[in-house]
Amino acid sequence: MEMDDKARLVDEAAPAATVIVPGALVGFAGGRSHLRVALEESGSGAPRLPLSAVLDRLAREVPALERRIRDERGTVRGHVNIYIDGVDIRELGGIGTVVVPGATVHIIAAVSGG
Amino acid sequence: MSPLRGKLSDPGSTVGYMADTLLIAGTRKGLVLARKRAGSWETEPLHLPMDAVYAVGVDTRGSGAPRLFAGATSEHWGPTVLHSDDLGRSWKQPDHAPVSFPERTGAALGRVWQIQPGPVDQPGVVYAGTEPTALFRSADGGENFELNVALWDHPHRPEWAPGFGGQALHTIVPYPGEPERMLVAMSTGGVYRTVDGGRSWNPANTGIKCTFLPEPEQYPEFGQCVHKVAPDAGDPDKLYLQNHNGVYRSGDWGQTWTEAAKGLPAEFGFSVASDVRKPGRAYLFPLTSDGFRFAPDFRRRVYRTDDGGEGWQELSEGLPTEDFYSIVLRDAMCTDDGDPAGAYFGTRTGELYACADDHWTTVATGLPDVLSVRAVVLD
Repeated sequence: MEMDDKARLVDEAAPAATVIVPGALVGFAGGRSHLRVALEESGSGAPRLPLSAVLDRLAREVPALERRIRDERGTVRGHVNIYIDGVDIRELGGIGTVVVPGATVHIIAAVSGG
Repeated sequence: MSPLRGKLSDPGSTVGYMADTLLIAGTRKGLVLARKRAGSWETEPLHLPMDAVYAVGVDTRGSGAPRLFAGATSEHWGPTVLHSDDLGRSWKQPDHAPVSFPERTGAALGRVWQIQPGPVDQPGVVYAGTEPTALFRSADGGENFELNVALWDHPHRPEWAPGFGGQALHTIVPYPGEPERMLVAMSTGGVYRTVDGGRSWNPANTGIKCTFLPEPEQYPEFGQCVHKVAPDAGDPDKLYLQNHNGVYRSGDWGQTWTEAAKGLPAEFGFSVASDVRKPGRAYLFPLTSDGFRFAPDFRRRVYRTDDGGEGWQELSEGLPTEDFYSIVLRDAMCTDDGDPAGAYFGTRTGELYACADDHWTTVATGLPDVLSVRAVVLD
């Protein structure tokens, strides 16, 4: 992982969500366990993004991390769980679940696998 | 890089770089390096813990230390390919996926089953065989790979089917001096060849039997469950093949195959490895049958031919004699590049063995399942 540890995905003041990186992948995120991801303005003016777009942003900024969460088709790997504010995205809208400012996107290794 | 990946726990403290042989073993839960110095083997702390390393490779074409490869798959975090230019002290990989299916295929990499450096006259070229069945080529020493489109789009693809281990391309045999020619093997599907640098591929399974098909259909054009192919050291047109039930050889680069099981206690098995120095020499580890996947008499027994497959003789001196209920997987047997060459195999019960001067030595026990081995003599 070649990355400036001081690099940030978003200005501290911008509307953003926080991605919590599992310990096993911190080394692929420049040593960071928490990443702030900017949420762009939508057509209605409210800053929000689908989870897929949040992960697309990770793919651009920290590809070594993102490719361990999703495969090249953009599918979340079978033994990776993602929670938004504590709720499994399978119970929400899956990869299309809307992420709003202040949300926490928690990536966790499933109990299966390994 | 993650601190957990590719880092010796105490690099350089016990093992120097004057070792005369390096054995690299991919296991179900990590990578093991063993070095022979002054006739004694030492193993290093586990690399890539928890990753299943189905493929390992050694590229000796450069001027420096050999480049080592590992095709590693985390059950949670997916597959990748790493390389080391310092004999395993450190492992590197690009941030992006080194082996990745193009979007239009709709496929995703399951795992890398084979990493094969190209011929000497193609420095920088490295091939990868994958699950799902595909061939990838790198022109930059194995850091970035591109899909071979012709094989992916092959009209036979819908009829290739997974064996018990998955549907994968597991064997890549370049043709020395003729870069346009190459042979690959897959399970199932069988042997395919190209003579135009990978722009087209044709099956080459004439004579190879499918015992899992009804009698009138046991010799199809393709669909065989070929387990491994190895080229002879003296003539690239001579090949050895371990099939799903059956041992074969070819003298015409796979155009035709003939049975070559004389002297073997059984014809089933997964691995075949050829000596890279001595023409006519190859190794097998027979198993009783597809329905009884144990070594005959529950003993560790390697068989070797020294006459191009005319006959096989047991070579087991030095191997433990207690009962053995494990197997040797398709890529868990190899030779090194010494003269004379050493031979090596690993078992699904985590044993590693090395053979020199017709005598086997135990290199390690208690490892995770050994999936792949390669060895190289160091200067």
